[in-house]
Amino acid sequence: MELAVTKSGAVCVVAVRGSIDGSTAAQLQQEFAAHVTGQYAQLVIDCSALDYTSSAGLRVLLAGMKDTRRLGGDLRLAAVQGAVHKVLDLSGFTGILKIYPDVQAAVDSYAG
Amino acid sequence: MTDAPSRDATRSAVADREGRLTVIASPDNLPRLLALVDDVCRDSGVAPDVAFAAQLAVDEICTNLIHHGYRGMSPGPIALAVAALDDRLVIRIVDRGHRFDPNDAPVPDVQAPIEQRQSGGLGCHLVRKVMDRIDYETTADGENRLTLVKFTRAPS
Repeated sequence: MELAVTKSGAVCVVAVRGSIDGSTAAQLQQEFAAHVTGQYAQLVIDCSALDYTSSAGLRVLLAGMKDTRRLGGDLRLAAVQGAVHKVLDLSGFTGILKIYPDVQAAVDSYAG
Repeated sequence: MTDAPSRDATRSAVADREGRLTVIASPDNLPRLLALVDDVCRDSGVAPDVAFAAQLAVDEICTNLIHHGYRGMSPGPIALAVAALDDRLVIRIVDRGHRFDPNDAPVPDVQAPIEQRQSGGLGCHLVRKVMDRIDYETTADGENRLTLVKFTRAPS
């Protein structure tokens, strides 16, 4: 799994490439911890190159959502692919987080 | 298992459509377990949704075993066998740790709002959702045997 972090104004975009499984979830957790601060509590996870996640990934996303919302921000997903969407669906996560078709739409959603 | 587990992974392909792997239950070995599932699915040409279900189920089960299965003991073995038969994919996972039947895990509330959402039980929930059969037994000498079955389409 590879991560690439970019900033778009006040929004922090984390692009995740590969798979979030039982062994790579910790790395994602660390990245969130490094970037979720009072200044960057608005996160977008770019899932366009994310092929797979297990519940370990969901756990990290859930914690990220709670942390950012506590700081007045949020964690939103962009460009979610088939298998990942299926896992989000099966676990009911599609009902609790916002998903956008692409990164720009997700970044724009924080404005206004 | 009657053999003492080896420190290194041992792997044999019994046929094109079956693979076996025994590793010690440690985080470093999860990628090897997942790679075996991937190899058997690719070699046998199962449909993508079957391969996905198998990957997810083995990931969830083995991650649980690695983090909780041998809690309080020195890490023991995880023996994985994946076989693609004519109409099904059969996955067997054997360990000698604490007994934990995925069928017994609490069902998470998948309708709960985020404030009440817990992440416990999600792994087993996903396994129950994507596999068609889940059977669990513990033998008299403490071997836990999990069998997962996913029905597939007829081979091309």
